[in-house]
Amino acid sequence: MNSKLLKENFIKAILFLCALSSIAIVFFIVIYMIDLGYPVIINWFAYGFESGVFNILPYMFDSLYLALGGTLLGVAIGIPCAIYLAEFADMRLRNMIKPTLEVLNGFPSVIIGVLGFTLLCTQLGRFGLQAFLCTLVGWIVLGVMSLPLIASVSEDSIRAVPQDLREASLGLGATKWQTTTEVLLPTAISGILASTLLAFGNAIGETMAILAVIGIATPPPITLNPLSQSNSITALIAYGYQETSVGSLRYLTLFAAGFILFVMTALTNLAIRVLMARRNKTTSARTNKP
Amino acid sequence: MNLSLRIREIYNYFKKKKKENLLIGSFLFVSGIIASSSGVIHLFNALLSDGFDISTLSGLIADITYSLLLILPSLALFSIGYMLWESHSLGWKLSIATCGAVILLAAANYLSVELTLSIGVLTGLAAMLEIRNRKKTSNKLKDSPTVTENLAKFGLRLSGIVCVSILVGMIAYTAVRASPYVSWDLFTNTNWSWANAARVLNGVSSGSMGGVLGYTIGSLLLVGFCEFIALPLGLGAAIYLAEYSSQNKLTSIVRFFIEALAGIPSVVIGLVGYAVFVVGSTHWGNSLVGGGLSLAFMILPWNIRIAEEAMKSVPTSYREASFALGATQWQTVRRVVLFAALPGIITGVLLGVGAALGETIVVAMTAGDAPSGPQVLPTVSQVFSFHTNIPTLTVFIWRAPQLLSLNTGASGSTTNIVFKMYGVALAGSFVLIVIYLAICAIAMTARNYLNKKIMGK
Repeated sequence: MNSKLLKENFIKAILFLCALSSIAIVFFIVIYMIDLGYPVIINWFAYGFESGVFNILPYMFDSLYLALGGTLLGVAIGIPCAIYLAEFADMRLRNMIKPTLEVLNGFPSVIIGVLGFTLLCTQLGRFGLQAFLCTLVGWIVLGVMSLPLIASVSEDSIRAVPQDLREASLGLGATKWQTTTEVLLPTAISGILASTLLAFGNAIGETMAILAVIGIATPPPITLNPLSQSNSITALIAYGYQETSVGSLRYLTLFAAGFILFVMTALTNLAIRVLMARRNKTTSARTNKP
Repeated sequence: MNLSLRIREIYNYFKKKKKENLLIGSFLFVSGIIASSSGVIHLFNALLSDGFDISTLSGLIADITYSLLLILPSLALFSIGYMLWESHSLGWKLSIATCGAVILLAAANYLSVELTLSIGVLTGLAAMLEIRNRKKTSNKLKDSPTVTENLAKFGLRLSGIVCVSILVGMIAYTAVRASPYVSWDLFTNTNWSWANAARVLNGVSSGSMGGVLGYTIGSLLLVGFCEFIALPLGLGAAIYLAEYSSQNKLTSIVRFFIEALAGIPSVVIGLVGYAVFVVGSTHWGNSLVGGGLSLAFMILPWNIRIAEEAMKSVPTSYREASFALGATQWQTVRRVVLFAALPGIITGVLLGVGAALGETIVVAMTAGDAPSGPQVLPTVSQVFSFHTNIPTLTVFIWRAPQLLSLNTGASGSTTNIVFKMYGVALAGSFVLIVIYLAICAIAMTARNYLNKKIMGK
């Protein structure tokens, strides 16, 4: 009996170590980045982003601007798609769309990037546009990438709305569409927002898909014009790592940039956590009412 | 009916509406029409002229796909714009208005004077149709929601169809563009040389370009090694979280870090992997182990989430029955919970494998960039020697245009050769897509089959 208990505890300890491994990995990555990038990071803290050794502000702006446009494009198609799947879809179309979203979710981003270049950039060039590598195509490419995530997570959160809310609304004589807009969407809004933020975080970190289509303007201009070339932190790192010699200031800057990227995605993650905590509170409050 | 009466009617109709709804709705309405009509005109242009210097079928299909890509979303926009005239929630309006702006900007690039005129006419026609529609229904029944309801449903369904058509369009386009270069040899030959491929593209030498089997094997090896590490680790963590942990501070911290790891951009993982394994104190250079480890960091949170969800969906009664028979917790987990959760785990892990196969930047930074020289299959001893470049399909796709242009000597000057070079990149993409789709198909059939078999669903 005692040896059995010992074995159980031993297994539990091993499983716990497995769970701790991701903490170790995150700490390892973050500490490594800070360890190499701290001269540049401290410099930024002391003199500000713009007047430090390397002006990363335009890159940050472009990353955020690209991610914002792409996510909004994904939202515009993804959320109607989620509503349709959750509330209106007939079996035939649902069986077609669901696997599509799953396949699209893991679709190799490098292929989307190459397609974005040959399909969209060259076509824009055909219309006599000077800069055919531009933010606009980056948005479209990121929109395609964020679409499946937004659609599937939003669908889950719409489905998670308690059935009695639906029935109460229908029982009051509301139509299905009224029920959707007046009851389901307000209830599921925090889940939908969380899916959007999730897609936003992914879009900030996306590298391959946009590398081919945005053009690498150095330094990138801070402009809202979607037809201008741009750059991003991810592109900065992806193109910079080979060209710099190990230990040089430029090399350290890459790690500082990586740290900035990590902070931006960590902040979106934090926002998602807050949102989800709020959602859990509201839904449990709703269901606990007598 | 004369014109002034008609104008008065339109005016009265608009007066009844809420102002903001009207503004945004009509903006979307118009931009939808502009974008879709310019898409249609582009389609006509493509069909009637052989403008581009590729007058082949693939060029034509490219045009048509492009036009459809423009037309379909803008049609969705059009119907959503109409929907908004009736609806009341603000978040909707904002998100969709942005989308409208984007498409409008896209369309504005190639608008000419006569186009603008025809758009005006089209808009007017649509508005009249809409008003007539509205009048009909309002005569039948006050505040009848049927028109809105049906249009809303139509719009929602359209957005679903757009999702499907994006995927189908991407795959079809890749297949068409890759078709001149796809052969049995491409899949099965292990020798690839950029110089030779460039000669074939230039028409200097005829014959086979070579194949990408070496790259495929490299990709599979890397993902195999990555799952060799990430699968046991992920399963262990998931079992702990789903079965052993209680709801306390520590568990929520663990969860937070798993989410944080999932959120770390791949390029950051690649950078750290590059610094540690390639140029760092290990002095491995590009290697299978370094690449596989970095990839495992990326795939670990995915594995944990999938396995945990699958185990949580196993009914509690299964566990209780097992406990009642005197089984310990580990026995219950191993014999009952894991078994019942198997379909979900297998599917999720396979989908993760598919996603890992498509990962590029991590692999390029750690396992190795594509060499510009000829590529032959590395031997087994080389693969595990820590110092060998592991060729991968995704890096092949990424670097193909660049390395080919180095070898052909033609940069952006000649459009035709650039088009061909991207064709070669898409041939590589085609191979990757075939493998990826095969994995997805296996994952989904496995889920259906095992669900039927185990759960009796």
